[in-house]
Order: sequence, then C-alpha cells, then structure tokens
Amino acid sequence: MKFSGLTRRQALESCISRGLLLSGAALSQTKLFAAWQAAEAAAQKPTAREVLGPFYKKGAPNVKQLRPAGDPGFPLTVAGKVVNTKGQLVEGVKIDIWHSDHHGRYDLVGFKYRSQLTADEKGLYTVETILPGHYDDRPAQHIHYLISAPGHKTLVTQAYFATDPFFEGDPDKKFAKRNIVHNRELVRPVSLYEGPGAPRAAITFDICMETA
Amino acid sequence: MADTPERIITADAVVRQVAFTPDGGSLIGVCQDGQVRFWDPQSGALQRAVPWTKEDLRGVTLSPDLRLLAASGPEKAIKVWDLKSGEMRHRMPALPIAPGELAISPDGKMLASNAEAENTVRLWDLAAAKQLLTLPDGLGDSSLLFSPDSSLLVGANSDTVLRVWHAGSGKHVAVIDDLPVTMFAMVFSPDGRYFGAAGADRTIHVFETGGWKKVAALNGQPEMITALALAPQGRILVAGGFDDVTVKNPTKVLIWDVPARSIMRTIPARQRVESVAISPDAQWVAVADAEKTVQVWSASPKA
Repeated sequence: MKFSGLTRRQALESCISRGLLLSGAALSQTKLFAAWQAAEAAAQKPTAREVLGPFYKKGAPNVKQLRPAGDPGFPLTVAGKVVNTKGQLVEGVKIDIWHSDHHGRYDLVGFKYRSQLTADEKGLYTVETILPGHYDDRPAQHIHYLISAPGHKTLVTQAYFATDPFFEGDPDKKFAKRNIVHNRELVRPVSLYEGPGAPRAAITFDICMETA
Repeated sequence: MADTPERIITADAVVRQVAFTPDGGSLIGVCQDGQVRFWDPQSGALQRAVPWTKEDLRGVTLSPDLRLLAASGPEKAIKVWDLKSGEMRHRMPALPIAPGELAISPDGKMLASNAEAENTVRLWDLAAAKQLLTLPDGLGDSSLLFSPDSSLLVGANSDTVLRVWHAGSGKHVAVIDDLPVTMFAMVFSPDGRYFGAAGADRTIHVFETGGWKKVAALNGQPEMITALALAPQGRILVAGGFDDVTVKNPTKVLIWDVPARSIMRTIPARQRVESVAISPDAQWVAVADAEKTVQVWSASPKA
C-alpha cells in the first residue's frame, strides 16, 4: 500500500485536488485513507497527445455510420469512453474524428470518413468505419482525434492499430520506428472477427481529458 | 511542342527553398544537406556552394532580401547565417521544443517561430537574439509570413484558422476562421494590399488587407498547394503542391495571371513540389521537386 509513503497533508491535497474532498479538517485517518484509495482507483492518466496533421476539416456532421454500402475498405468499429483525470464523465464533449480512405487519401472536398461525435449518458461513443490506408508522409494507419469540452484542455491525438504491417508484427518494439508514433499506448489492440458477410475489425480507444 | 523545361539542374540534395536573386543573376537553392547552392539560371551551372550547417534541418527560411538564412534543428535553438559568407550571425536561446516554421521580416529585424506542441508563436529581435513576444496561437503547426512593410505577421494553423497580428504589439488585427481546411502557403502582394493563402482545398484564397475580406478564389489546381511565389510586379503567381498519398505521383505547377484570374500556363512536375520561384522579370519559373532537381521553365507558353 503506497499510502504509508504519503503524509496526511499530501493525502489531503491529493484528494482535494481531485475534487473528492472540499476540506479534510474533520476526517479521521481511516476515512481519509478510504477517500485517497477511492481517488487513486478513479484517477486516470490523460491520453497521450499526437500531432494534428494537415488534413483536419471543420464542420463535420455528427454521424455514427461512416462506412457507405459497398465501401471496399476493411470494416472497423471504433468505440470508447470519455472521462477526465478525476474519472468523471465529461459534459458536452465533442469528438472530431477523421481518417483517410483505404488508399490513404483524405476527403478534403466533402466529409467522407469525418464526424463530430458526442458521448452518450455513460460517456460512450462508437463509430462504424473502415481501416484507414497508408500514405507516404504518415505511413502508419491512424485515426485523428480532436476532442474538446467545456472546462477541459482540448486534446489532439491519434489512434493506431497493432495489426498494421508498419509495426512488423511487434508494436512493442517497432512503435517508435521512423519517429511517426510517439506513444506506445496509442497503438491499440485490434479484434478481428467474422462479421455478417465479411471479416471485421474493432478497436477500443478510451479518452481521458485534463481539466483546464 | 513537347512540354519540357528549359533546364534541369541536379542539386544532389532535396531543395527546400528556391529563389531568384533580385538582379536575376543567380538562382539560390537551400538544400537539405546543409549547403546553399547558387546556380546560373541561364546555363544551370553551379556558381558557388556555401556550406552552413551539418544539423538535420527542420524549419528553414530565407529572409525576403536573401541576405539571411534561418534554420532550426535538433539543438532546439534557431540560428541565423549570413548567406554571402556562410558565417553564423545570430543564435537564439534554446527552446523547450524544437521550432518548426520560421519567418524573417522583410526589414531584417524580426524572426517569428512556432512549435507544434506549444500552441504559441514566438517573435524575436534578430540582432539582440532576444524574444520580444509570445503570441497565443491555435492548434497544430502553422506557416508564418510577415507583410512587406514588416508591420504584420500572419500564422496559418492546421486548426484551419488564419491569425493576423500587429508585429509591434502582438495584438490581433484579424482572425479568419471561415476557411474550410489548412492553408500551407501564403503570399503578400508587393504593396501589401492583397494577401493570398492556399492549401488543402487546392484553392488560392485572396484577401484585401484593409478589412481582411476575401475578394477572390483561384480554383484549378489538381493537387494540394504547398508553395506559392508572386512576381515582383504582383501580376504573375506560381503555385505548386503535392499529391497527399504519395510524393511519387506527378503534380502540376500552375502559373496564374492574377488580374485576369486566369491560368497562363500549366507545367508538369514529376512529383511533389518543394518550392517555386519566379524571376524578377517574370520570365522564368523555378520548380524544386522531391527528386533533388530544380527545373527552370519559361513562364509564358511557347508559341
């Protein structure tokens, strides 16, 4: 138990800073310990940042189905939960996601493979799309994220795929190849399964925002 | 008539920026191998090569008068060289994050820099190597450009917003947030009355700088635009760019008659265009491509 390494003052400050306590003056050591443990369990590390890239486009519609019928890309479901570093749901969150088609080309005229999603009452979001393609300047498959919410720092990041040939079957060792991906945590495990009609892929990409 | 360049100059390294000297006597190429090469634009012969850095270049820019060259690299400090002698003239204090885009003011007094993860633009006093201002910027990397009279600084961010600051006070002159996508290249008319920005939507957006209202949109580029050059008379504009999927795909360089808003000539480029330049007499266009060559073309279509 790491609590023994903390002074009472540090534990109080830790709880207060996470919004669990307004003041610790009247708390017993046991109650304070319990509050600190709860804070520790709920505390989250903010999602790592990545570059915004040149292909962001403002004004994407809020759509959950980005894969049109007959799309030649590999079907992909992306789902996740949005919380903040206190483990709380984030009110009014807007999740801009965008990625290329299966050839690595972005739609800069319309809004193909672009959406501004919201999270539901449980903080969950989901989108049906395809695995992005590869292109020269950023040769690892990726989905861009720009996440904003009142009272929180805007988060710019990207999700990558552990199955991407770019990682040569070993994302733990190869994730930093060519200085494209800056954080191993952003390379997500991919579930591959038999879908109706065609194989499908799915990733989970949870988001943790910092309060402003 | 075959569509071929007048000359192909082999540069031995990727040319990040090309420019014609004001007398038209030299074509300058800022090369990724840390050399600045001067060629005779008529013969293509190498006049001289000035080695200036061995660092892995990140941001690099020539001053508008072509006397200075600023660059940033892994050392995270912006350095400024005298282009004639190749000697380092100024060195700014090191920054927490390596600067990306750079711009030198036409009066040679100021330098602007930014870094993707900082969301700020820094304005420097060149001679004193001292930071003057920190300007809060938008998200993502931005291109930077000073106005011809050095009074304004424009930043184009990948959050698709153009920000115009008064360089002296750091106050916003305009914030243009109705562009759909990122602008990669910017240009001012020589008198400063007009400003052009072009990028991912393959369009050159023209603004008048009195009220920063959009006055024209030049459409026709088949690829994204990353390089613009305006002739000193302000009439002829050259635009080049790249295919977003692969640098190896051929592209087109367009030469615009700006007052007529019409395309004068379309030049085929073999692949991604790094930089374009137009000679002071508007007769010649230089195109630096990712294949380490500079091609010199006639600006007017051949009869």
